[in-house]
Amino acid sequence: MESANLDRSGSGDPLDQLLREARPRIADDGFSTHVMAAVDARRRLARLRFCLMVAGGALGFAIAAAAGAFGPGATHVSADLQRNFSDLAAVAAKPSVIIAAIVIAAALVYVFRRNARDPAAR
Amino acid sequence: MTPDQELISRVIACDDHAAFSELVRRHQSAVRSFLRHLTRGNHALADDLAQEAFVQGYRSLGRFRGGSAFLTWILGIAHNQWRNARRRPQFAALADDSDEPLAPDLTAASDLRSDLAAALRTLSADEQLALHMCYQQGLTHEEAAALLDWPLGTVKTHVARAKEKLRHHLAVWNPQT
Repeated sequence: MESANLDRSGSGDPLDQLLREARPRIADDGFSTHVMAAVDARRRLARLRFCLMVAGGALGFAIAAAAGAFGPGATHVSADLQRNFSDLAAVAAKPSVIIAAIVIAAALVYVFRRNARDPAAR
Repeated sequence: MTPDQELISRVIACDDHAAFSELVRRHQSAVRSFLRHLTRGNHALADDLAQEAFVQGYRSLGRFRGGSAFLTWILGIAHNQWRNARRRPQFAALADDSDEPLAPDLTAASDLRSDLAAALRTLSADEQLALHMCYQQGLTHEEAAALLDWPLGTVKTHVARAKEKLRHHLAVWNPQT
């Protein structure tokens, strides 16, 4: 039988001490090896994803080039793009659109700040 | 022993696997015992979540600002993993029932310890969790409150109430009361 008692009058609280000593220690038993294997697997997957993205971009570019997007017709494409961007700028200058944009931006800032308070992304 | 911060710097700077492996070895027990506590002793689920937490931690380590200890940070990730898992239909049974006590993972190494384990089982889940965070994980009340998303007063109240209940249950060990 232990001689400890839970009297608080002495130096320090024996109950505090008891609770701290009750900390369980779980043996690793290969856990960290499994974690590192999972980390490696995720890294390989991320690398594969990146390679696929680059390859997809290159393929898209090649298809566009083969379809003649960069030939003489490209001037028309550029002019169309410029016209579309001017139309877009005219729409964006409307007060209602500006207010909507501010509301959306505020909502995004709120969401990201909430996430930033967490130690990691949910 | 190399400080955590140095290991973290090595992982961030040179993607040092050995350094991260050392961090995992160092903190696996705390993270797994925390999750075993939350999953009510479901060791397999707790270990899966702990593994996910460390993998997530590895990916997010660049965002670790060092404002808190690494352990507090990784426990926060583990808690998020637990919250996400709880939303999945297959884990619906693990929904937060504050009235249902958790099974404390406490080895009965002596009569006093076994009495303590029995007394802990009489506490509510939240009271046990508060004690676990503040004593077994060694967090401050503020750190526990931030990690669990509880108001600071709630943590303090749970700890104080839990300790009073434990004192009552363990009164036999105090001949002066």
